[in-house]
Amino acid sequence: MATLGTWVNEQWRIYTDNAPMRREYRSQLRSSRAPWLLTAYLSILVLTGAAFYWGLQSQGMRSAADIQGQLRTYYSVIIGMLEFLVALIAPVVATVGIVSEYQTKMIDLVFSSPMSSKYFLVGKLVSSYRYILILLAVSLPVASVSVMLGGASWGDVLSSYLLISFHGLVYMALSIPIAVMTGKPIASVFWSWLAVFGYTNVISLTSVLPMARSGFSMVPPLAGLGPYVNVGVIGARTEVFGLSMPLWVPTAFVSFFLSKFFLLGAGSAMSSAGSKETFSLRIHGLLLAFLIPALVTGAGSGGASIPFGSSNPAQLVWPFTLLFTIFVPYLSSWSLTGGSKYWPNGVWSFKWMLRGTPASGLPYLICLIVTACLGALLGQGAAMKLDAEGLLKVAGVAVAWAFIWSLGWAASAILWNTGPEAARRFHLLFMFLVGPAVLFLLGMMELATVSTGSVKPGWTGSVNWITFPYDTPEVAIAKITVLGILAVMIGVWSESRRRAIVYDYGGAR
Amino acid sequence: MLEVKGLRKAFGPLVAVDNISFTLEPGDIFGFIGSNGAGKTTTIRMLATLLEPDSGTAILNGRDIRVDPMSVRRQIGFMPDDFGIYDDVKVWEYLDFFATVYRVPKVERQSVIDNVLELVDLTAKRDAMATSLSRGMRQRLSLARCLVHDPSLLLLDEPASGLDPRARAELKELIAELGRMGKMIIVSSHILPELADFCNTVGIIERGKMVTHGRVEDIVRSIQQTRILHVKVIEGASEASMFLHGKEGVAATNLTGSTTLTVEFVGDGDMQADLLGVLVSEGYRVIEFREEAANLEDVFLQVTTGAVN
Ligand SMILES: Nc1ncnc2c1ncn2[C@@H]1O[C@H](COP(=O)(O)OP(=O)(O)OP(=O)(O)O)[C@@H](O)[C@H]1O
Ligand SMILES: [Mg+2]
Repeated sequence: MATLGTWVNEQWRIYTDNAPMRREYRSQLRSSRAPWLLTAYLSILVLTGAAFYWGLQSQGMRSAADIQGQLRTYYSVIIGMLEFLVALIAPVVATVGIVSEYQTKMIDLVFSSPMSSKYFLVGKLVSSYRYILILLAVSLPVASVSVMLGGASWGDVLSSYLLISFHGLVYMALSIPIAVMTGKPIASVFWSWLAVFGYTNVISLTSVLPMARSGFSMVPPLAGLGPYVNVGVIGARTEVFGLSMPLWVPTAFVSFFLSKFFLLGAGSAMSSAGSKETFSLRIHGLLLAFLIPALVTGAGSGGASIPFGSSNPAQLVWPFTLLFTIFVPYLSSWSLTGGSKYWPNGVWSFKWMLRGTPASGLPYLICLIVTACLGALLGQGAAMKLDAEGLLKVAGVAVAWAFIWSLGWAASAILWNTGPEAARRFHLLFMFLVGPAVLFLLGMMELATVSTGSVKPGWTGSVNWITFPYDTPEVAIAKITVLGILAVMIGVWSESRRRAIVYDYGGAR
Repeated sequence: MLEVKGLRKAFGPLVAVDNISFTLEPGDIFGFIGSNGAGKTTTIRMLATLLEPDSGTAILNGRDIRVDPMSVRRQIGFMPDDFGIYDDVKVWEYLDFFATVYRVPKVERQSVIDNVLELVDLTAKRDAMATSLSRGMRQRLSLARCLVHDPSLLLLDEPASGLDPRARAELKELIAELGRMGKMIIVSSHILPELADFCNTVGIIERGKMVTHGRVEDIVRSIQQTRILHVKVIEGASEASMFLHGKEGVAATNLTGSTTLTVEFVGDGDMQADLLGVLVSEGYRVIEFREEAANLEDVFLQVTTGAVN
């Protein structure tokens, strides 16, 4: 009871007596740049609106329905512009909030104080989010023109703004770990923009593709997360596991969940080995790995909504697992110079799986893949058939990622004395170099089987070595074996090297 | 009480801090002396829980910096050598930020802020922007920040660097005052005279190793085998010089004036007192008999080799 009370008090303190939050409030509008930024932002909006309006005028009057359509377009353009500006500004605001701590050399004072990373990061996120709300409030006059002319209702505006603010929240949360890890202004803004761009496209693809397949007759639960369909989904309802609800409900839920996940990423980056932030991050990672495929595949009613036209969970999660490319270097890298967080404490340890040391990388990766497949399975419900072939392909995904992981282990074994970042970069480089080579190898294997005629009609055409979506079992087994052998060879070499290095360094610590 | 036990930190092949141990009691002001790159900042950052030691640890009032860093942080005031100040806040807001972070109850914050401002003599600047302060004022503001939560250990990394002599003297007085308040203070510096007069313990670090540490007098005594005694008599300095020559512990005597002489002396306090005793009983009218002030600078030069990492 006492601990619950302390916990509640602490949460209360985080949101009501948050020093970084208060500081940001004080300085956000005090800085000399603030008025300029707001003016520029408003000008862009007003100019967009005005340009479009003049365009309408010059076309002259036509039918009432035509005008109605044009006004709706005007509204979409304004909202689209807002989405764009928020995607542009949110990462800047969030990263500046973090990077300024490094720039003003405050970060040591922050880290040597007893503030939890949650207190710090939530303070930063909430104060940045408030800035997005200010931006939206300031833009209201421009949007209200639409309402007065009849292109949209206030309800539409509320709905659009709600979605934009969720998007802004996720963009900011996504930028914060990047800012924490780079600590430099230009680099963090650049990478954040890139991350936001990648995120919006992946998330839009996962929802728009099934939407298109259904002939736009249904709205998938994740459709509200992407910025491209804002006006298109006003007032839309969706179905989550057969339950009908307004689209903003799953959008809000997933936005908060994603934001929390990204903040945990930043918290984990800020903390030392075995921290509770890392633990929590990994738990949330598993939840997400389950949730996203479940929501993507479980959209709408029955089999009609199955994306990519497959019932194989391994195939369903491949766009999702593709994102792992970004995270695997963090799971696989180790180094003797980065502190105990990166100390190579073995090659495989379930005990450490959720605590973020190098020994936990491989088991956690495998666990993520299995969880994602389970999520896809659950989402599919009755439409899913998990037969021997399906299982084989799930195993294939695991082997493929184990192979990619082994590249990271090798990169670390080579760069053990230059810090984990170098190993990570090297791993990325390996992926770019080795990836195409292996792709080519597997593609040749597939072609060879095509010529022997063992491939079913319509199953060819893919050299997707991550999930083998169209392979016959024989080809899949062959590919998995090749990848497995490569993984074991690289893994064994780098692991023996790791042991030698650790032994030289005076054994386990 | 602070117990530092075998701290070690390597950056790749470079061992920046190698097996450093020492102990401090409340009220101790510990002068941490070493040349550039000796490992002072690295040691202090480990104590401030900002760097993870490779091995070894430190216990502050029963709390281990590695096991329970959060509670250690609550008892530490850390002033880095290269500290920052938010550029768009007022002096009192800056302190309010840290008072909040260090969980000073809301109702007490204003009075705590006023108190520490008073202590560092910045009350007049309460509502000024932090960036408008001079270097010395910033240093004092930074020190005020370290004090809002009434820490038991202060870690001051080169607090006097960049200050003019006057500001330096004021800072020293302030640190001495904090010591009298019962705080443990670690002050690092590579400028020796800066520390000699107000530290009661010192540690000399070179290439990551603690060359020597302990009470200032003890160290000086153990290193400086020969001490200089200044003697002044009303008359007969040259006879006194002759008389003292050859007595136990006297290595040499030097006449420095008609009534003054210096004695190079090797021995402990008892022997020194005995020497004064025989001088007086012999009939010399001694009006001064004093030991030359301990010279840390000489000690430093004697124990270090000047090698750097
Ligand atoms: N982050 C780091 N990475 C690599 N080497 C470092 C790092 N920090 C310190 N060092 C090295 O450790 C050694 C000790 O540095 P430290 O900053 O502790 O010295 P210092 O005694 O504080 O010197 P100064 O008087 O110049 O402040 C130096 O050789 C330095 O180059
Ligand atoms: Mg230093």
